[in-house]
Amino acid sequence: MNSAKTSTKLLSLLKACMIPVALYLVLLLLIPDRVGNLDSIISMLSLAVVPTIVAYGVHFGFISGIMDFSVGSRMVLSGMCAAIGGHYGGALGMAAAALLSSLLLSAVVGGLFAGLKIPSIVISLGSLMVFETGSVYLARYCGKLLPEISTGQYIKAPEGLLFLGKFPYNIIILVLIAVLFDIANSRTKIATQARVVGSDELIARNIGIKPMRVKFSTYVFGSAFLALASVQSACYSSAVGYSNSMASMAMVFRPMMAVIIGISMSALVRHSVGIYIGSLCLSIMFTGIIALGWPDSLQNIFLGVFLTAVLALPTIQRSIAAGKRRKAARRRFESSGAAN
Amino acid sequence: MKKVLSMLLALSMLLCLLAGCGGGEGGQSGQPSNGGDAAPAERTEPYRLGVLSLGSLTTAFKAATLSLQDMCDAANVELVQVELAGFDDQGFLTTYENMINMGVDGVVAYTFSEGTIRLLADLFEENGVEWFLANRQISDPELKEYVFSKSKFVGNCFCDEQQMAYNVVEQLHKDHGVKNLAVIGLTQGDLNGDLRDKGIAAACEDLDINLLTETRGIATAGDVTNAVEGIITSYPEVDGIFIVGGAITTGALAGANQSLVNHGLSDKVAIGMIDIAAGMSEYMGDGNPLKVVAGGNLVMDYIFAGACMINQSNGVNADQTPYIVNTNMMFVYTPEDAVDYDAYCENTERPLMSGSKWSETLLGKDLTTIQAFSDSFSITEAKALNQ
Amino acid sequence: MNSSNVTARAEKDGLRMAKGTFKAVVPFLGLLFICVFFQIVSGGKLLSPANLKTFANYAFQILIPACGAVFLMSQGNLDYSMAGNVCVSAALGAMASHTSIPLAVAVVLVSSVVMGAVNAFTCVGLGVTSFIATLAASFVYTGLASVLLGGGALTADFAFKNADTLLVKYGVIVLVLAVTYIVFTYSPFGKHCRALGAKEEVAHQSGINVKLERAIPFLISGFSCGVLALFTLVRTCSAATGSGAGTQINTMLALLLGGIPFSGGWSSRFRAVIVGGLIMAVVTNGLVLINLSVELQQLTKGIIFIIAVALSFDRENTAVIK
Repeated sequence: MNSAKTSTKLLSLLKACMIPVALYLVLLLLIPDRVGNLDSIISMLSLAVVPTIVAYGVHFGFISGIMDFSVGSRMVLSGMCAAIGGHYGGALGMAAAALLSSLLLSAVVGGLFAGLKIPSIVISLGSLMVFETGSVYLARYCGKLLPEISTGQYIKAPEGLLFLGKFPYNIIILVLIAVLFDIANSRTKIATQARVVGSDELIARNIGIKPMRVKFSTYVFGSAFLALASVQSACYSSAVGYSNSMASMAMVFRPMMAVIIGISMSALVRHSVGIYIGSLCLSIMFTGIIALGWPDSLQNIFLGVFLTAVLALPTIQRSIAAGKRRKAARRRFESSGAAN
Repeated sequence: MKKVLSMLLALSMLLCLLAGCGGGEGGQSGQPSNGGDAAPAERTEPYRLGVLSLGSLTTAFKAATLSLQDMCDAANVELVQVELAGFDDQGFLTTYENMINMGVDGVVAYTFSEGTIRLLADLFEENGVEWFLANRQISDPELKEYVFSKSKFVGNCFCDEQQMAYNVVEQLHKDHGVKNLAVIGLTQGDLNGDLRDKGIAAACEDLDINLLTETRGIATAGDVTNAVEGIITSYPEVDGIFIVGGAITTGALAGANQSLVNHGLSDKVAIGMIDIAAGMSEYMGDGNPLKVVAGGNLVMDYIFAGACMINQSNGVNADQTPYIVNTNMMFVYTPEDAVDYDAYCENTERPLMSGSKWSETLLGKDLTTIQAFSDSFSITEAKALNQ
Repeated sequence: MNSSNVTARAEKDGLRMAKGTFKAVVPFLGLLFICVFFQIVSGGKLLSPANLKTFANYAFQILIPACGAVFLMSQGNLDYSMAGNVCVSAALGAMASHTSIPLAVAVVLVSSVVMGAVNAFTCVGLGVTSFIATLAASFVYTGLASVLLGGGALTADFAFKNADTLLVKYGVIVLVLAVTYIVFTYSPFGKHCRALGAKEEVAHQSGINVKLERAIPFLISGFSCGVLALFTLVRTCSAATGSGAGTQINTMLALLLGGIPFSGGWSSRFRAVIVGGLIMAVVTNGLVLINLSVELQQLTKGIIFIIAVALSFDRENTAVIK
C-alpha cells in the first residue's frame, strides 16, 4: 500500500516535471550548442529562485482572494533596509532588517485593508505609490548620509554576503525556504483558514472564521517570505535600486503566474514544488528567447499564451470529458432502443 | 473613522498647498507669450526660460539645472522648471503645453522620441514661443528641414550619438580585443538609443565583430543581472557587453558586474557603456570589467542650450538662427577620471562654475566662441573651471 | 411602549437614509472640494481657458475607457489588457493611416473589438477568471505591439492632428458618456449586467443568456480602447510601445473612486464613471499644475485614492470585500 502510494506520488511528480523538461528539450533541439551545457541549466535553475520565493510570499494572500500589487515596492524597500543592515550587522543584521521592514510594511498594508474595509486592489495600488516614493527618498538620503554604500540611486549589498545569491547557495536556501513554506501551507491554521476564506467567505464567516483577521494574517505571514526574497534578490544583483512610476508592479506578475501554475498542479504535486515548476518554466522561456536571439517582445507573447493555456486546460479537459460522456450516453440509448 | 480620514485628506491637501505655494508660480493667468519677435534688449520683465525638471530621472538633469539656474541668475533671466507630466509622448506634450500656459518666453526642449519633435515645432510656432532642442539629434532629413524652417526654432544642441557608440565599440575592440559583443539597449524608439544602435551596427560591420544578441527595456539591477546571466550562459564566446543607457537603469552596472563576478568573468568580459552612471569608479581599473564609458553630453547639452536661449533673449546670434552646436563627447577610462567626473561635471550640490564665469565664457558670445568652448570641454577642463 | 418602538424604528430608518444619502453625496462633494482646492492652489490655472485643452486630454484618457469598463465592473469582471489593446490598435492605425485616414479609423476600431472578443472567449468560453485571463492577454498584446512597432515607435499621418480640437474632444466625451449612460441605466442590457454582478445564478434562472451577456462587455471595453487609441494618434500622430500605459489602472481607480463596488451588482451606478473619472482627471491635472515633483505627485495620489475610496465605499451593501 505504502509503496503503491509512493509510486503514485513519484509518477505525479514526474508528470509535473514533464512541462519544464519538455520546454528545455524543445530548446535543446533548436539550439543545442547554446543551451546544451551545465552552465545554462544552472542558470535556468537559478533564475527561478527569487520569483519562487516571492511567489511563496504572495501565495497566502492569493488563496484568500487578495489582490496585492504592492509586493514589488515592499520588496524594494525591505531589500534596501536589508542592504543597510547587512553593512552594519552582517548576515544577522541583513536578515533582521529585512524581516522587520517587511513585517512593518506588510502590517501597514494589511492593517489598512482590515481597518478601512475597502478592496485590496485599492489598498495595494495606493500603498505601491507611497512605498515607491519612500524608496526614492531612502536611496537619495542614503546617498547623502552613507555615500560609501549608496550612490543616491541604489544601495549596494554587502560584498561578504553576495555568495548567498550564487549557485549552489541560492538553491540550498530555496530548498530550506520551500520546506518552510510547505510546513506553513499545510500545517498552520492561517493557511487553512485562508483557503476557506478564499473559497467562500460567507461560509467561512458562518463557521466562526473572521475573514478580515485571516486576510490581515496572510499579509503578515507572507511578509517573512518576501523578506527572504528581498535578501536573495539583493545578493543576486549586488544592489537594490529605487523604483518609480509604478514599475515595481511588474515584479509581482511572474510570481503570480508561478502561484497560478502551482495551484493548477496541486492535483499532481505539493504547492511548493508546483510553484517552483511554474517559475522554472518561465525562466526557461526567458533564457531560451535570449539564446535564440529573438526580440524580447516575443517573451511577453509566450508568457501570455503559456499562462492562458495552463489555465484553460482544466476547462478544455472538462469539455472533452463531457463530450465523451454524452457520446457514450447516446450510444447506450441507441443500443437500448435497438434492443427494444 | 470618517473624521480621521477626512482630516488625513485635508492634511495631504494642505501639504500640496504648501508645496504649490512654495513653487512660486502664483498669479499667472496663463497667457502664452508672443514676445519672440520683439527686441529682447528692451524687455521690462525678466525673460522666462522654461526647462523640464527631470532630476528624479537622472542626476545629470539635476546637475545641469543647477548650473543653468546659476547662469540665469547671472543674466537676470527667470528659470521656470516644470515637472514632467508623464514619461511618454503625451506626457512631454502636456508638459510643454503647461509651460506655455505658465507664460514662458523661451523653452529648452528635450524629448525621447522623434515623433514628438514635429508636434513641438508646431506647438511652439502656434504660441509664439522660442525654443531650443537639447540632447536630441534629428536624423530624419525631412523632419529636420521642417523643424529648421520654423521661425521660433532657435537651434539644436547635441552630441553625435552614432559616432559615440561607434567609438565605444572601436575602443572595446582595439584596446580590449572584443570580437563577440552583446548589447543591453534602451527601448527602441528613443531617439538617442536608435542612433547608438546604428553606430554599434556600423562598428560591428566595419571591424568584423560578431553581434551576438540584444536585450532591451531593462528596468532594474535584477533585470540586468538576469540578462547578463542569460547572455553569459547562452553565448560562452561573449567577450564584450555594451550597456546603452546606463544612467536610466538604476544599478545597471552593479547588476552586470555581479553576474560576471558570479561566473568568474570580471577580467575576461569587457563592458562599455554610454551615459555616465553614478558610482562607476569601483567597476573600473585592473581586474574590473568596465573599460570605457562615454557620455556627459547630457549635462553640457542642457547648459549650452540654456546659454543659447539666454543669448537669444538679448539678441545675440539672433540673425544666425537656427543653428547647431555640437557637444564634445567625453570618455572615462580610469577610476580617477570617474571620480573627477562625479565631482566636477555632474555634481548635484555645486554648479559647474560660478555665474560670473558663465557670463565670461558663454553669455553674449558668438557661435564660434561657444563651439570652441564645447570642443575643448573635458573632465580636466571642468576641474580647472571649478577651482 | 409601542409608540417608543415606532419612534426608535423611525429614527433608525432616518439614520439609515441619512447614511445612504451621505454615501451618495460624498463622491460629488469630493469632486467639488478637489476642484476648489486645486483652483486655489494653482493660482486659478485649473479652470482657466488655457487649461481647458489640457484638461480635455486628461478627461478623455480616463472617461472613455471608464465608460467601456463600467459594464465589465458591474458584472464583477476586470479588463487588465486595456493598455496592450490601445497600443496594438494605435500601431495598426498608424500603419493604415499612410493609406487613408478613414481606413485607419476602421482598422483601429475593428482590431480593438477583435481583441476584446479574444478576451471574451478566454473568460467566458474557456472559463478563466477575468483578471488572470486579461492579465495574460495584456502580455500577449504588449508583445504584439512591440513586434508591430519594431520595438519602438511608428509615425502616423499628420492629418490626424486636424482632429485635435476642443470641440472634437469634448464632443466625443459627451457623446460617449450620453450613449453609455442611456445603455447602462435604462436598457435591459445594462440591467442584466448588474444582475449578473449581483447573483449570476438568479440572473440565469430569470432567463438571461449569461454567456452572451458576459461576453458583450468585453467587446464594449475593447471598443473604448479603440477610441482611446484614436485619441493617441490624434494627439501624438504616432504609436509607441508606451502608448496607453496605465490605462487599466487609471480606469479601475477612477471607477472605484466614483463608488462602484469591486464585485459589481445593483449598487453599480453610472455616476461612478463621471464622478470618479473627473476626480482622477482633476487630481492628475492639478498635481501637474502646482508643479509638484514626480515622486510627491505619486505619493499624494496614493494617499488621496485610499482616503477617497475609504470615504465613499459602500461597505454595508458589499457582502464580501476582496
